[in-house]
Amino acid sequence: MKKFIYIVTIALSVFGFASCSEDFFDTEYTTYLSSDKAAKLVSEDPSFLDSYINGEYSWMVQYATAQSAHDDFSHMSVGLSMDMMGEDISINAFHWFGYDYAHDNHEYTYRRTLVDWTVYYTIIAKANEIIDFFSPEEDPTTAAARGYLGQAYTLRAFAYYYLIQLYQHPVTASGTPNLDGKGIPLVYASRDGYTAEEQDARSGRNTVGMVYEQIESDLDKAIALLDPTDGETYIRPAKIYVDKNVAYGIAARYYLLSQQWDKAVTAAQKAYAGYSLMGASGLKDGFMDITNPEWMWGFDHSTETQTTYASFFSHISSITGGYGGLAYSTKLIDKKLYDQIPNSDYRKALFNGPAGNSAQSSAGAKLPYANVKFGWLAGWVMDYVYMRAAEMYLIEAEALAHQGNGTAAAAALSKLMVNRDPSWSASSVTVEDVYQQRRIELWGEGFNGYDLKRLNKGIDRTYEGNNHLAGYKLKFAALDKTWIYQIPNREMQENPKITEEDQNE
Amino acid sequence: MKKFLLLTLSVMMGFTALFAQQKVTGTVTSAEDNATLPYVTVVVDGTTITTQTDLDGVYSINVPAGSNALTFTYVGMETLAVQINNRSVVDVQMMPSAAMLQDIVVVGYGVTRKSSFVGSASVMNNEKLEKMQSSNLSKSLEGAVAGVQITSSSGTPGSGANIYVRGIGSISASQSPLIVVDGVPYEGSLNSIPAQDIESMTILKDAAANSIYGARGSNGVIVITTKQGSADKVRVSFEGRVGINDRAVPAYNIISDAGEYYEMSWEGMRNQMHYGAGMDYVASGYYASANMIDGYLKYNVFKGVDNADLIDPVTGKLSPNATSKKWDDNWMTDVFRKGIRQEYSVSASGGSENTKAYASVSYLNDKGYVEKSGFTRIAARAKVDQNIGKFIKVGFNVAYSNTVQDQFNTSVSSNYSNLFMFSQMIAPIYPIYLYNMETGAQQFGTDGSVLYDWGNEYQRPYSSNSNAYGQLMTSKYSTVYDNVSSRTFVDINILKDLKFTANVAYDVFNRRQVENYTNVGGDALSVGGRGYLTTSRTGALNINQLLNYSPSFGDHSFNLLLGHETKNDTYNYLYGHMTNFVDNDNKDFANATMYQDLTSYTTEYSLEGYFGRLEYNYSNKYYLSGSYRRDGSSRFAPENRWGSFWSVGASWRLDQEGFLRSSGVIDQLKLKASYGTQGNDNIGMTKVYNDLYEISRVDGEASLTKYFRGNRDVTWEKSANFNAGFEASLFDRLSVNADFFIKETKDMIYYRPLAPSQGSPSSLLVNDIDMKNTGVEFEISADLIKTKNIRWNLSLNGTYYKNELTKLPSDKDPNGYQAGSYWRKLGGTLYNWYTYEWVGVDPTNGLPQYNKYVKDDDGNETIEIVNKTSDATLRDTGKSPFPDFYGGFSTTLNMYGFDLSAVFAYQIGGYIMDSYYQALMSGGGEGENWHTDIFNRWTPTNTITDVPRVQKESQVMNETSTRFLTSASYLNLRNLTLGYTLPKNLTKKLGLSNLRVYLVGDNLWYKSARKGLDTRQDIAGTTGYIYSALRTYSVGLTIAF
Repeated sequence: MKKFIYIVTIALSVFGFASCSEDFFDTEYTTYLSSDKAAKLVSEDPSFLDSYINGEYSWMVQYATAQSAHDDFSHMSVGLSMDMMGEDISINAFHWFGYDYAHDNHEYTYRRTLVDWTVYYTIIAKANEIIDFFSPEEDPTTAAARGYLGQAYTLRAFAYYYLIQLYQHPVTASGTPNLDGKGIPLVYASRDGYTAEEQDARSGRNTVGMVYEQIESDLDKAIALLDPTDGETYIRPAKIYVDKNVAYGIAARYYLLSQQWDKAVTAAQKAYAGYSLMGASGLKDGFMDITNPEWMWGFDHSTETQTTYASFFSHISSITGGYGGLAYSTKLIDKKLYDQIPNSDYRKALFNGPAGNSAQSSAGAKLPYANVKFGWLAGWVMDYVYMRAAEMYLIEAEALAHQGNGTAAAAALSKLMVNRDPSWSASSVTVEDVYQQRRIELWGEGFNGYDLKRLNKGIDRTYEGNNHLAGYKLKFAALDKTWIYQIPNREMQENPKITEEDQNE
Repeated sequence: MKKFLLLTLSVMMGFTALFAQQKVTGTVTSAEDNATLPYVTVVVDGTTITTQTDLDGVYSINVPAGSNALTFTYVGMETLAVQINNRSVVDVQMMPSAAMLQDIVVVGYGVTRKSSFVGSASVMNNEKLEKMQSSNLSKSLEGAVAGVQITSSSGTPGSGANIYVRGIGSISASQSPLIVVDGVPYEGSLNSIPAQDIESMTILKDAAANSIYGARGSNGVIVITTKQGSADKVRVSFEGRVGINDRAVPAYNIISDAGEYYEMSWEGMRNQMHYGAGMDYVASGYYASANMIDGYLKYNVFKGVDNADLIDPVTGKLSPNATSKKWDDNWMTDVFRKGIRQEYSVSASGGSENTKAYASVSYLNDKGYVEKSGFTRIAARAKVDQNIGKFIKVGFNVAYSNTVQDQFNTSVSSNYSNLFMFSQMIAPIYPIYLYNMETGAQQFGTDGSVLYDWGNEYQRPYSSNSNAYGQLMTSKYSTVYDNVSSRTFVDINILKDLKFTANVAYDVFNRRQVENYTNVGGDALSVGGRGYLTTSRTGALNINQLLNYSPSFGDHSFNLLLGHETKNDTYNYLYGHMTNFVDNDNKDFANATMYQDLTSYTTEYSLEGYFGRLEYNYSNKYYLSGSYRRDGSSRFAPENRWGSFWSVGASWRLDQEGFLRSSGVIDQLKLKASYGTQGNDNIGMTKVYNDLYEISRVDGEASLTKYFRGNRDVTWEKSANFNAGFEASLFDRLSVNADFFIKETKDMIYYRPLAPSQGSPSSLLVNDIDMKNTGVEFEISADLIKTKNIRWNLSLNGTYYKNELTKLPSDKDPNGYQAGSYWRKLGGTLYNWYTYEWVGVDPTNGLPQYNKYVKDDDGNETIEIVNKTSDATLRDTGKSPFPDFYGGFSTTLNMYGFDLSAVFAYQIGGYIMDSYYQALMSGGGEGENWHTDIFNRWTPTNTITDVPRVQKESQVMNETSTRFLTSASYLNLRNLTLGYTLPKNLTKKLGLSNLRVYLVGDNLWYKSARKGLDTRQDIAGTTGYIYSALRTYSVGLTIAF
């Protein structure tokens, strides 16, 4: 008996006290994909980079990028907030985006300044992650690999293009590019070839000019990859991806911003090449279907990606069960702009007149001047539009007009107008004429706020008979401090290269 | 060994008559009521001879020659030793014991005598626990134990509290103590264990007590011991109580009169047109009268008054015709109810010399004062200890409980379906139910069903498309748990002084949670109802092997413990999300048509530790203790996986010294000190050393989003604890314990914020802050009256501590830096409020004023007054949410069978940012209500005030500043109990051993700086729209056979 006890005890002790092997600590964790595993998957099959690229596009429609608020749904919420600062949109009541409408959202402690910063710098971080999969020594040679790298460069340029306009005035009082203005941090991939010291030196407020150089250099690289002079061209599998046309489209936007008119014309022409424009019926399809032939780039929403109330359509569409449709804050067209649209213009039908439309079923769509441009699908799976061919014709026309070539500008614009207003027949147009068409054509799509800044314009919601919300019939001159955001608080706190003196007014 | 065997054998075989002996008989009675006591254990001192009293309290025992003392022990009575002095009849009276567990302290991997314990621990015994009517044990600790602070973010029945032992000990890692149930870490909720099953809760506070738990002891350890069987007759007891739940902390004082609300809204609108939009003052009044209802508030609750006539455009007064209302719904009263609370338990225990068994069954149904909120628990436990032969003892302990918690819309968030936010913030002009706007007639569904006003029909500006009460009544949020907790052990006595123990524990927690948003109205209306279903399974395995060696040589006694422990927790999760529910009464997916989301995952955690402890005792006077433990955690990278923890401690029993022994004043006096370290790896992340990507779907393809930035350098957070104190009892009436402590947490794990220009996620986990809590705590208990029939006890405990940062993050300005709402600097607390300095209201225009600090070129600082916080300067206020002093006091009076006790909890000092009061002091907006303090707002005729003017939608009237920092002091009458125990001679006639009836109330009275503010919500001093604490009144009955 005694022996037995000893044996049992010793056996148990030895068994128990023996060290567990390292396997014991190699625990199961299936919630996420680790970076080690992801890199291994890429090395085994480079097409796994698709998942990184997809990460960019899903980020651009992500809800709650920085804070859980229904006006934080990534790229489209930034555009809408900028539109709200203009005068082309009015609202029936103060609600989400109300502080943007009030020009009261530019301070460093506010949500908007942090959200916009986070949206675009994360696009940059993700692009850098993709860029770093490629050797600094040589450019990729397969179409697929060029596609990944070209998209990453394009998206990085795209993000800087928006950031610089949000956090600095793009033009000076005289209307020339504000190249010496304080810009924004530049964040690099190691493939960019900067030393740690150089990267650190550029993590503060570089000049606008330096940021423009970076955008241009990224776009040059992107176009060389996506539209190679020899070798196979990257063909995108769906319209959610950037291809050469989209890269040219972003280049056209940038050249228009930086006032390089010739380059803007060329890039716009290359961008719309191959696209047709929709006609009167297409305009009434609700701007929610990516298969629309005029759409160059957008996001194809599905059940898994839609964000319901915190979505673009919840706010912009008067027909959804969202904030617009329920009339909490329906987006109305400015009365003056509405009156200026000729009755012959198909686009006038995208807005209610002064009497409203009692035949509509939602409370929002019944309202006077409510937009009915943006539609509604059950399950909230309406697609987002980022770029349409129409915008490219407008860029071409505007750039030509800036050069004083009114006739050529009219010719370019007429390619669009023939699909919009059959009675339009100008033989020469000014920049203002083109701008007027941009306001009508791109209403609510996230362009007007940037246009006002680019063209050095203020707003005036005080005119006689206006339909703006009481208390918000405001007037803001160009270059007013409220047109740009302060650098968000968290960046001020955590970035040693930006000091209080660097802060915007 | 042989001698030991022989001795044991002889005892077992009943060979007691080895020597000449004398027979002693007697009767044992209770000093409390003179009743005789059955089943009292009587032992002849210095022998193993033992017997028990019979049903009449009579015993008979053979006392061998040379023995002259008997010891009487009985549960609930103080152990009594009596000299025989050649008597043949020895009758004794036993005194009831206030804390029968006083002698024994449960420590890591064993128990020890309190007198020999060098560490610091407090015990809360079952008597105190059973009084409290908390469905979650953690809430019973409020004010009960020195050094323990409680915060609670929900009063929903079944919800728990956060427990802080000796102050906050971490930032990003867990701040909660390790919970150990019957020797094994417990990963489940404390709401799964009924208080009736618990013998004691011991809170281990210092290194000497904790270090042996190494891995996770840095926030203290709470050791819960469940009841066990006794080796005598079968005891059965029944406990039942029934009561009512109510709201303990009232709501803020808000405007409840519709007319007053209209007048204030009118003024806000007039001011907005005048000051905001620049309209002429008089015209603004006319504008506001004309537009207030139609253009803004939409609802006119008064009958027979036109919308535009409601407010006089010149005087701003309500129309005298506004006397009769179309509806009279009250959001502060109509949405609450009285909940019924019922609790019943039956337990049985018994056994023989070789077997001890305990079993219990209990049922709790705790309905909240919010409709559809409540907690039910069915629990059962069985515990058997069995000797096998002479050397081996085995035992098992299995508990099962089923808990169901219903708690829709009680989240802390400012979600518009949160009833506590909604009912407080909505203006008193908006109805709960749907009415005809013109006639005021209530509307019903075609089937006569109640219709709620979701705000869509008439475009209510507050809280679009929702009705928190309607949402509550038609939605569901229910969590069901099946908890199985099993413990088995084997003890093997290898030699006299050498024992081997193996413990194996496996706990399983299965959860099923249904969260369903109605398709009747509100948020999910547009998708036809929205449902989430989550199931999860947690399996927690713990195995430890212990070797105990405790030899004695003369005055030297040793106790050596060697141990090894492995732990493995596995968590499986499955989640689905569907919309478009066909039948709103059916919340299952079989009833839903549109798929939205589906996911599942597994996480696993492993821990391995080796440990040893050596205790030395010289002559029961001097004690030394040392421990060492080495732990490995699967959370960290292999090279940073292992951490070492240790402790040393010593104590000196002065009462054993000759010079004190005969003083007659000091019954007991012990000095003690300890120092040591413990760790914390409980950081909510399964693995920290890799970047992690979340996989989502884009067109059916994978899409990667970075979720976490990995850091291989992250390792154990460690806390170093110093403790010095004394324990004394004087005059046979007074006991005083006091400890001084320093608890320093080093290499704290925290999420270092990154510049957002680095992209999302913008934080990185690092070990980079040190923090220290220095404090004093004490417990005093005094028996003011101690006679046969009256006992009156008064107890007080208190804790003072100072929280202090001792090392800032290495990347931060050494002079201090901003962390959200807080300023962190060396010597400051973790949560020093960093906000704008409020300097009152400008009497000329009613605008708020703040200090702006301006430095000139010479560095001289001057102050300017500004009207917006964006122009003002953030300042370290030096104020923090940490109280200066907290604790509790209680009194118990036992008199002729009656018992009366009162337990209070208190806190003095500290500051709360009362942000929900702040929300009620806005300029006015979106049909939101105000606190009645708004009546004192600035107007051209009331210029000397600290409340700015009202101005609709102005963001600047109630900005966060020192204006809303509010004292965190409070006093709470935690529990009041009045009971009556029938005299023992009477109960005996009824065939019972005990019968007690009682009335009990919990949270009966609460007082803080502002009515409505519960300052116990959060350690960091924030507030939320929480399910306000429960007040419970019950009547109860205890019967023991």
